[in-house]
Amino acid sequence: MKNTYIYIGLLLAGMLLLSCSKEWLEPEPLSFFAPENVYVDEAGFESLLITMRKNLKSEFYGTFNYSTAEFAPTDLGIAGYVPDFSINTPTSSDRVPYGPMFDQIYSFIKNANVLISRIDNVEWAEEAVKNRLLAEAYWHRAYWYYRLVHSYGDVPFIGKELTGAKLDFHTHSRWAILDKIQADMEWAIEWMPVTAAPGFRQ
Amino acid sequence: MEQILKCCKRGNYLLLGIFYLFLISEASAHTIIVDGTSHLSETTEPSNPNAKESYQIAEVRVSGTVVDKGGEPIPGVTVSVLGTTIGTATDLNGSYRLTVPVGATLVFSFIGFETQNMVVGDRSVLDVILLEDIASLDEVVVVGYGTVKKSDLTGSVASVSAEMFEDQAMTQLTDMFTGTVAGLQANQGASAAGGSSLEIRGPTSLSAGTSPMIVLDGVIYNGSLADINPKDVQTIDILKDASSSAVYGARAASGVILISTKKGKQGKPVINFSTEIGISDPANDRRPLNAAEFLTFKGDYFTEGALNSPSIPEYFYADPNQLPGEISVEEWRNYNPNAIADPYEEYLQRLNLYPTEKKNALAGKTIDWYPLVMNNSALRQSYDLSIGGGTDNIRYYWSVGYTDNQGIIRGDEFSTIRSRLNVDFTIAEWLSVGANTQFSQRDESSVAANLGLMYIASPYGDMYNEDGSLNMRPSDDPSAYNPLMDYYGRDRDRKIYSLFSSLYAHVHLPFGIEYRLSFQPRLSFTNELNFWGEQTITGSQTYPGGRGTRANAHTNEWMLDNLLTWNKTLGVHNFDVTFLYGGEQYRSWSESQANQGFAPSANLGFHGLQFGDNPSLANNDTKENGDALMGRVNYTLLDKYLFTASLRRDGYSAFGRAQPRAVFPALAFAWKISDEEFFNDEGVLNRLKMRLSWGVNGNRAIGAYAALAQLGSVLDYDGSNVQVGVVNTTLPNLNLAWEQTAAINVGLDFGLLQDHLDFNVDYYMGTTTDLLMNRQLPRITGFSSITTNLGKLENRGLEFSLRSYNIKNTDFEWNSNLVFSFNRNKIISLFGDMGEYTLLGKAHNGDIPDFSNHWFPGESVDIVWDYDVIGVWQMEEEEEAKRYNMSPGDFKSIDVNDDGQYSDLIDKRFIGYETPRYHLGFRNEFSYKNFSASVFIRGDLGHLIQFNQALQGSLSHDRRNYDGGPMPYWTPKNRNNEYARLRPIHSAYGGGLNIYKPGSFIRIQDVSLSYAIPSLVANRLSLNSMSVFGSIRNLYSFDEYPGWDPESRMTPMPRTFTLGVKVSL
Repeated sequence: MKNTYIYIGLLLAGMLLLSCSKEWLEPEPLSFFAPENVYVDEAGFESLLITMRKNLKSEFYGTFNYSTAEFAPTDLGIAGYVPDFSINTPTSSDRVPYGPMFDQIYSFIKNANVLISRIDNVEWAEEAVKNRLLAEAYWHRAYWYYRLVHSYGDVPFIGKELTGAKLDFHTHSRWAILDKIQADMEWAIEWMPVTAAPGFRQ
Repeated sequence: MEQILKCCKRGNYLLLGIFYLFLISEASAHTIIVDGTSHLSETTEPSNPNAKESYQIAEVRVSGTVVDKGGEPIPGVTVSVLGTTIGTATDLNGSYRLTVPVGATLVFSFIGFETQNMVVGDRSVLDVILLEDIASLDEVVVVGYGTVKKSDLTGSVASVSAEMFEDQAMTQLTDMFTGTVAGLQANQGASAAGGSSLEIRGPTSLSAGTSPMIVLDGVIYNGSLADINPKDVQTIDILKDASSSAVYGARAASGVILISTKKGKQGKPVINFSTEIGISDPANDRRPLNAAEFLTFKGDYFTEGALNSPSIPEYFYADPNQLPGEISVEEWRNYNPNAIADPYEEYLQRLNLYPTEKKNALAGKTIDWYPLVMNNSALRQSYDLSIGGGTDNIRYYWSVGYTDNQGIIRGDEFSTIRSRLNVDFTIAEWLSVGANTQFSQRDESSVAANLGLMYIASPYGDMYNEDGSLNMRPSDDPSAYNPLMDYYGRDRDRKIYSLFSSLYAHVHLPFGIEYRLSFQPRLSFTNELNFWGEQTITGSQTYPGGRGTRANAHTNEWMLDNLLTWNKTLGVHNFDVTFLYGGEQYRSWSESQANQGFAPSANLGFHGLQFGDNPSLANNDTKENGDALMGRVNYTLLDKYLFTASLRRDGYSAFGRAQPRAVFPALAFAWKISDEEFFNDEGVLNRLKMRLSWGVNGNRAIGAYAALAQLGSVLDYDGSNVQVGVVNTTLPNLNLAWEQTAAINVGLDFGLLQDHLDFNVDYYMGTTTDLLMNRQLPRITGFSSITTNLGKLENRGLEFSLRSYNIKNTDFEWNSNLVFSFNRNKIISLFGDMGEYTLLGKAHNGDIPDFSNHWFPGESVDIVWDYDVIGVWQMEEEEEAKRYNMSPGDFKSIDVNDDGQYSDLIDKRFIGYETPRYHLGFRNEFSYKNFSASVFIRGDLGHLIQFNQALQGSLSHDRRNYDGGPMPYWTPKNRNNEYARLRPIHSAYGGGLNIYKPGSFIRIQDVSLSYAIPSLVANRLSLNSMSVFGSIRNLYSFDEYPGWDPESRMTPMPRTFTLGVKVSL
C-alpha cells in the first residue's frame, strides 16, 4: 500500500513538471526585434518613422538618384554621362534607376503600411499622439504613390501591411490612387506639424 | 519498380554482388562437408604437443557427448582448450575425448550453434548441450523506446557492433559507418578531428538539414557525435525505415541512429586499458611545381601568349641551356635587343620573375614548400582506460580517454578528453535508479597552413626576412602570401566543454507495467579566442595594429521523458505497449566581442581587447520549446505474425503559430514465413521473413524563428545626430510547418544453408512534401522572398546486405559481410509556378525549374546540367574552334543544334550525377588460432565530381606559381584532351562552363591484424587478456580523380598506420 503512494507520487512528479501551458509553444524572440516587441508604443512607431524619413533621401542623394530618373528622359535635363543614348531609354536601368526605383518605392510604402495597419493594436492614452504618427505615415505613403503614378502611370495600390505571401497584384487607375491619397492627406493635414526640422526631425 | 529493374540491369556491380553471393554459398557448402568428414576420424591426441611441454602443467583426460536441445548428437563440433591450440572434434555419435591441462576451459563451437565455454574443473566427463545459434537473429536490437529480438523486427534496422572495430584506430564513432551499412552514406573526414557526414536513404530535404537524429542510451541526444568516445560504444542500431523511426516523429525524417554505451556487468571489476599510436601521411601526394618545373611553366605560359605575335620567336622564353641545336645562345639572346649580358639572367628577366625570385634563382637557392606546409608522419595517439563491474545492487562502468591527433596539414590538430560514468542502483525490488553521464573537452584551436597559397608560392621565394621574421610575401608578389602566415601569426584558442547526462528512475508497477522517468540535462560551453597579430595580413594591412575576437556560446538544454511500457502474453497473443509523454527546452546564449587597432601595442593579444580603438559586440540568443506524446502497440500472433502501430504528436515552438503541433503515424507488419508448417526449413532456404512498413516523419530543422517577422535597424544622420530606425526585413509565416516524409519499406530476410548465409533485401520509397523553401516574391511586396512549405521530393532505393559464415573450425574462422545499396531521388514539384520555359533546347510548359540551383522537376536533386565536354580543341581543329571564338587548347563541347554557339538552355545536357550511384562495402574477417585479421573494401561508384581546376581560370600565371600543382596543361607541343591551355578563353559558353571528372572509387579502406597473447601467458602476467594489433586505413584507392581524393575531394586524405595494445585486468 505504501508503495502505491510512492508510485503515484513519482507519476505526479513526472507529469507536473510538464504541466501543459498554452505559452509553452509560443516562440520567444530574444536577440532581435520583432513587430511584437517594437510596435507597442510611441517610441516603436517613431523609429519606423525615422526609416520613412530616411527613405525620402533616396530622391536626391547618391549617384543616379531618383531625381535623375525624373529628369534624364526630359528636355529639362540631360544625363551627361556618356553619349550612349541607350542608357537614357527607360527600358534600361544601367545608369538611371528607372526600374529599381519602382521596387524600392514599394518597399518604402511597405514601411508606411506597417505603421498604418498596426497603429490600432495599441491602446492610446492620447489620441493626439496616435494621430500625429498616423498622419505622418499617410503623408509618406501619399508622397510615394504620387511619385509612382507620375512616373509609371497606373500601378498596383497596396493599402495595408502584407502578412503573408501574396503573388497576385493588379493595377489600379492613376485617378483612383490620386483620389485615395488626396482623401488621406485631407485628414492628415489636421495632425501634421506646421514646421519640421531639417531631416524632418520634430 | 520497372525503373529500378532497369537500373539494376545497368549496374554491373549488382551482378558482381550476386555472383559473389553464389561464390560464398558454394564455398560454405563445401566447407561443411570438409568439416563433417575430416574431423570425424580425429583422435584424442592434442594437436599441438608443444603446448603442454612448454608449460609443464598437470593434465587430465576429459570426455563427453555433445547434443542439441532435442538430445540429438552433433558430429563435427570443435572442442578446444581456451587459449591454447589443443583441440579435437566430435565423432558421428557426438562424443569426444581430450587431454587437457588442469583448470582448463573447454570451448565447444559449431556453425549454427552458440559457442559454449565450460570449465573442466575436476570432472572427467563433460556432456554439453549446444543451443542453436539463431545467431545474429536472436541478437537484441535497440529500437526507439525499447528493444526487440532481431527476428521480431518489423522495420528496417541495421546494427553495427563496436566489437568489429576494436582493432581499428577510431577518433569518432562515425568511423564505423564509412561504407559499412547499406543505406547509410558516410564519407570520411580528412582532418585531424575526423568525423563524417551522415545521410540515411538519400536527401529528404532541399534546404533543411538531412543529418540523422541521434539517440544515446535510449534518450534523444542533440550534442556532437565527437563527444562520444567510440571506445565506450557497445552497439549502434540504425533505424532506416519510416515506421521504426516514426516514434521520434518531428525530426526523424532523415533516419535515427541509436547508440548504446557499455554497462558494467555483475562481478569483480574488469579494468581495460588500451593505447594506440599512429602515423598519418597523405594517401596521395600533390606537390607544387619545383624550381625547374616552375620555370618551364612560366615559359609555356608566356610562349602561349606570344603565339600570334610575329615579333616574339618560338624559343624566346626557352631556357638558354636547353635550346634546340639549330639555335645558338647568342642568337637566342639577340631576340631581345636590350638583353642582359648573362643569358640565364636574361632568361629570368624574360620570365618576369620578381627581384627576390631572380636573386634566389641566380644564387641557386630554392625552397620546397610541400614539406613545410604538409605534416608528413603526423602523429596520432590515444589512451583509454575503463573500469566496469557490479554487485547485486550496483553496476558501474567508468571510462576516461584521451586522444591527440595531428592532421596531415601543418597546424591541423585535435585533442579531446572524454569520460563516461554509467551507474545503476537497484534500491528495492520495484525501483532502480541510475545515471549515464558523459563529459568531454574538445580542443579545436588548430590553425592550419594554407594549401591554396602553397601552390602559388614561388620555389624561389624567401620564407624569412633578413631580420628573422616571417616573410609575408615570400616572392614579392602582393597577394601570394606566405602559406604559413596564419599558422605562425594567428593565435587561436577554441575549446568546447560538454556535459550530458541521463538521470533515470525505473519503477515496476503492478500488473506488469513498467514506468521510467528520465531527465536529460545537456550543457555545452564553447569558448573561442582569436588574435591576428602583425605577422598576418588581417592584423597588419586590413586592421593595422591587430585584430582580436572573443566569442562565447553557452547551450543549456533539458529533456524529460515519462515512459510507460507493458508487455503481456495471453495465449497466442503477445502485446507490447509503449506510451511516452515528454517535454524539452533548448536555450543557447552566445556573445561575441571584437576590437582592433591596439595601442600602445598588440602584445596583449586576445587577453586585452579593451586596448583597441573600435570595439564592437553582438549577442545572439535563442530559445526553443517542445513537447511530445507517443503511443505504440506491438502485437504478435502465434509468434509468426508481427504488427506494429504507432502515433506520435510533436509540438515545437519554431513552427508557425497556426499549427504548432504535428502528428506522425506509422504501421508495420512482418510475417515469419519459415515458421509456417508448409515451409520446409531443411532446404537451401531455411529461414524467410517478410517485412512491410509505412510511416510518416518530419524534419523540424527549420530554424528557431523562421516563422516570425524580424526587424532590422536603419541608421540615419539628420545633420546633427545619428538616429536609429527600424524596418521589417522578413515576412512572418503563421502556417510554417515541418517537412514531412511518408515512406514505405518492403523487406525480405533470408537464411540460407542452415543460416550460413544471412541475406536481407530492402526496398524503400519515400516522398517528402512541404519542403522548406525560400519562395521568391514579387518585389512590390517589399520583400524578396518568404520561408514557406512547397514542393515535393521522392527517394527510392534498394539495399542488400549479406552476412556469410564461411568457415568455422578449431583453428580457423572466416566470415564475410557484403553491403550494397543505391538511392535514386527525384524532384516531383518545386515552387508550383507554372509557365513556359526552355530546357535542353525544347519548349516546356509546367512547373518552372530553379535554374540557379539546378533543380529540375522530374529530375534528380544531384543531376549535373552542363555542357557535355568532349575534349580540348587540338591544333588540327583550329578552324572549327574559331567558329566558337575559341582556339586550340580551349575546351570543346557538344554543340547540340550545331549553330556555332554554346547557349545554356539549348546545349547544356543532363550529363550525370554528383552523388554516388552505387555504394559497396565488403568486409572479410579471419581468425587463425590467436591471430585475427580483417580487410574492408569499399566503393562509391558512378558519379561525377566537379573539377574546375582543369579550366585554368587563374589570371595569375604570369606572376605566381601554377595553382593547379601537379595537374597537366595543354600546350601545342605537349597536348592532351583533358586540361585546357594556360590562357583559355571560354567566354563562348553561355552561363559558364564546368568540368567534371569521374568520382568512382574502390578502396582498400581498412586492414587490421591482431594477436591475442595465449591466456596461459596472460594469466601468468596476472592479466585477463592482452592483445596487440596493427591497422592501416586508406591503404590504397583505385580511382581516376585527379584531385587529392575522390572522397575528400580537394583536401588531402590521410593514410594512417596504427599500432595498438589492449590489456584487460
